[in-house]
Amino acid sequence: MLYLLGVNLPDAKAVPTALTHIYGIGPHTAASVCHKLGIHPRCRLADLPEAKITQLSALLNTLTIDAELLRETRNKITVMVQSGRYRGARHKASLPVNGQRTHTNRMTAKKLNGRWMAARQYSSARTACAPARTPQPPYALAASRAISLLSIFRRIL
Amino acid sequence: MVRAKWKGPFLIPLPRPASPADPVRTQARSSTIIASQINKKFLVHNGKDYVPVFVTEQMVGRKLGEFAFTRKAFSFKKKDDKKRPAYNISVSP
Repeated sequence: MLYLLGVNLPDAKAVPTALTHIYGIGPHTAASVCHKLGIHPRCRLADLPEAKITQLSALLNTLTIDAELLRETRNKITVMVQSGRYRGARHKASLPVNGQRTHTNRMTAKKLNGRWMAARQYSSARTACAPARTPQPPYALAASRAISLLSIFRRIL
Repeated sequence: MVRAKWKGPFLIPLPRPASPADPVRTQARSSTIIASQINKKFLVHNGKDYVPVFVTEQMVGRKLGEFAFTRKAFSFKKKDDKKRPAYNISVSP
């Protein structure tokens, strides 16, 4: 696992695919980043030389991804709600924002639309309804692995 | 699609109220809010009534109708219906 810019990237995967695991990078951006740096699209992350990885992280720092993107999105939605716009009210009520019907079929909106507002209120709510990938520092992963190993040993002994 | 920038904002000539302190009563929901309208009060039509809208800096570039909801908020609990405002009532100065 390569730890890049706050995200663990799977080593065994091809570079463009691995980059999509970063919040804010999809297949298109990943492909263009690899093209800019001259990385072959089928090259694995584990096979990249150190110099390339430095170049990669330098380029990724210029893009709006991860925590920055989340912050920007959250700010935009907060402004919407504060100024009293219709779109803001829909976000607040966890209802569809883009003019869909609500007589039926609003379950996805109920699940997803309220999360930007909920994260403001309670810090614990962020882990409960956070978007897809939350970056985890390596020591937390190692600690959780150690605890699980210990429990297995205890059961054997 | 967002309106092309070279065209400039979509504006409808708004009526001037009797005194500057009076709100501007308008049915022009699609008129863009410009910087000169900040800190002014509007009464925007929502199909039935005129909704008070107090323009702040965050609202510039949006349309007047975005702040005058056209539907009543719905809730399954009957007691919530009375609590909920029928439409958005913006912060008054």
